[in-house]
Amino acid sequence: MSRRVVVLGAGHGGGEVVAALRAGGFDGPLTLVGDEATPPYQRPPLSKSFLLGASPADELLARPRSFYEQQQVDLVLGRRVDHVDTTARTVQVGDESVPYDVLVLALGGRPRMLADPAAAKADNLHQVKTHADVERLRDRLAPGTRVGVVGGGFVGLEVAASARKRGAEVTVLELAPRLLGRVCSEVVAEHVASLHGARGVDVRTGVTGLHLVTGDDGRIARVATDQGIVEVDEVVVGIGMTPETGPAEQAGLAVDDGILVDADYRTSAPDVFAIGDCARVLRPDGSTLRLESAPHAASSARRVAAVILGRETPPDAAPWFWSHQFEVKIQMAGDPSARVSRWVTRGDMAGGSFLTFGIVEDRIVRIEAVDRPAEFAQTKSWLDRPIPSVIDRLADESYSIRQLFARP
Amino acid sequence: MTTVEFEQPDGSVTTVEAADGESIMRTALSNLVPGIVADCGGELSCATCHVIVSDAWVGIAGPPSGFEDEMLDATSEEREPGSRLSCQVVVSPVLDGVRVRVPASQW
Ligand SMILES: Cc1cc2nc3c(=O)[nH]c(=O)nc-3n(C[C@H](O)[C@H](O)[C@H](O)COP(=O)(O)OP(=O)(O)OC[C@H]3O[C@@H](n4cnc5c(N)ncnc54)[C@H](O)[C@@H]3O)c2cc1C
Ligand code: FES
Repeated sequence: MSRRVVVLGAGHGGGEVVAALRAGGFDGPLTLVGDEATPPYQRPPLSKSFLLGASPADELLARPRSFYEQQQVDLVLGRRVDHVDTTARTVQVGDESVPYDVLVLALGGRPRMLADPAAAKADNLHQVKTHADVERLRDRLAPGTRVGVVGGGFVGLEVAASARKRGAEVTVLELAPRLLGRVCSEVVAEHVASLHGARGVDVRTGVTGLHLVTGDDGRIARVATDQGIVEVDEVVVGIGMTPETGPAEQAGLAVDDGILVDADYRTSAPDVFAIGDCARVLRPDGSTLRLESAPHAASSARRVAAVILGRETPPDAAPWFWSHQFEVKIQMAGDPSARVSRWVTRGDMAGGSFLTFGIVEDRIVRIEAVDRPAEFAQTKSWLDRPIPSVIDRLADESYSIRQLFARP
Repeated sequence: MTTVEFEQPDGSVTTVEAADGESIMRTALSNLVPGIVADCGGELSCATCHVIVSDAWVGIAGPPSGFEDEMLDATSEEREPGSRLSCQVVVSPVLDGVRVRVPASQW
């Protein structure tokens, strides 16, 4: 078993795949190449505890630096790979052509940027993707710093909450009519909006005509919109990600807003896999799904490791995601693109502790929880199963979740 | 350096050296100890890092706190008196030699 495995992208999924291979007994040569300077680290804390200043950089590392040496993983950092040759089975790393028997693409995505010409030059404009991005932003935050956040999705709102907690004056500018438009229910979005409002974040939705106005020093001085002008010291843009597909396209793999893969994360080329944020899974019903979440990066990595090892593949858990804003824990599970026909809410919305279930016929297809971690975890495994007798009682708190879902 | 012992469902035990200040969850991941999934990377959101601290150590490891306690009600293997989420247990010299049991499944 000495096939050579090369993993491109030393992020969440890339780190998990090498760990899962070694944990599963893979003893062949293993190379992990990434363009960031840091070994694989956790991104979720970037916009949360790391921006708050609570955690030092090394605490973000998924595994200590020594791990890669101990496990004989050839870790190549600070190197971008743009050339993959699936016929010769090589990748070009700097001047070196590295052969592979199995290639795993774990390339993640790139933050989207505003088309505004001022965005390209300004030094006070931030994206929130890497540890380096957040360190730079963190250094600029002080009580009273005026921060304009463009984008009211999870990353933007988490940055807004963390910056506010550090005493910054924060304005969120969202183009859509409401926050978290593509990713969660109206019930939860409204709750999040009022949470931010109560904590002094100025949240504006349905903003149009947004443009950046640069001062004489080349920095962005204000953000102009149809809803007035916001004076800023720093601007954060959090308007979503584009999957990184460059090397796959160049190699001629099938790509469509993500590298197309089957249920085992195999691409259209033999012995090339794609996992995590950059992969778009083709499902048996012909639909496709691309997920941007840490649990998915990890579970797709574990599955590919099992396929490479020729082991039985672990079952795919339901997709899920979490967010922390101020002291509030928000958790969501189920396919975010599912077309929910009605929402059933359980708990105390005014008190800020509730769950809402997205229902289609006799099934729960989405679960969203605000500060209800236990009930969230208890109900997660019931996604997509027919449970006609339970649905109407979900909102009735005289039944515990354990009672409702007790197996017959 | 402090050592932590992980007992697997089949009774086998792995002893690893842990860095003080790191969580038991991270110690497990760094040493490829099987059975700790840790989907959320220690953000107290997933309950897939469940371990059961052995009787002799329960008092020293201490009880779970608020949210952790609630989430232990949702682990896939039934909780026990020594149950903790391993991302919330920080290794320090007083825990030298601690033994934790890894449950048969995490989800
Ligand atoms: C601020 C922030 C907060 C988040 N919060 C949460 C959360 O609360 N919960 C959650 O579930 N998820 C969260 N996520 C999402 C989660 O971090 C991602 O889904 C996950 O990191 C995806 O893993 P990945 O391996 O696919 O990609 P990444 O972790 O992005 O790793 C890809 C790596 O490949 C590198 N790379 C790209 N192209 C090349 C190339 N050509 N050559 C070499 N290297 C290359 C990239 O630089 C990067 O290091 C958050 C993300 C961010 C940015
Ligand atoms: S790692 Fe998720 S709760 Fe411990």
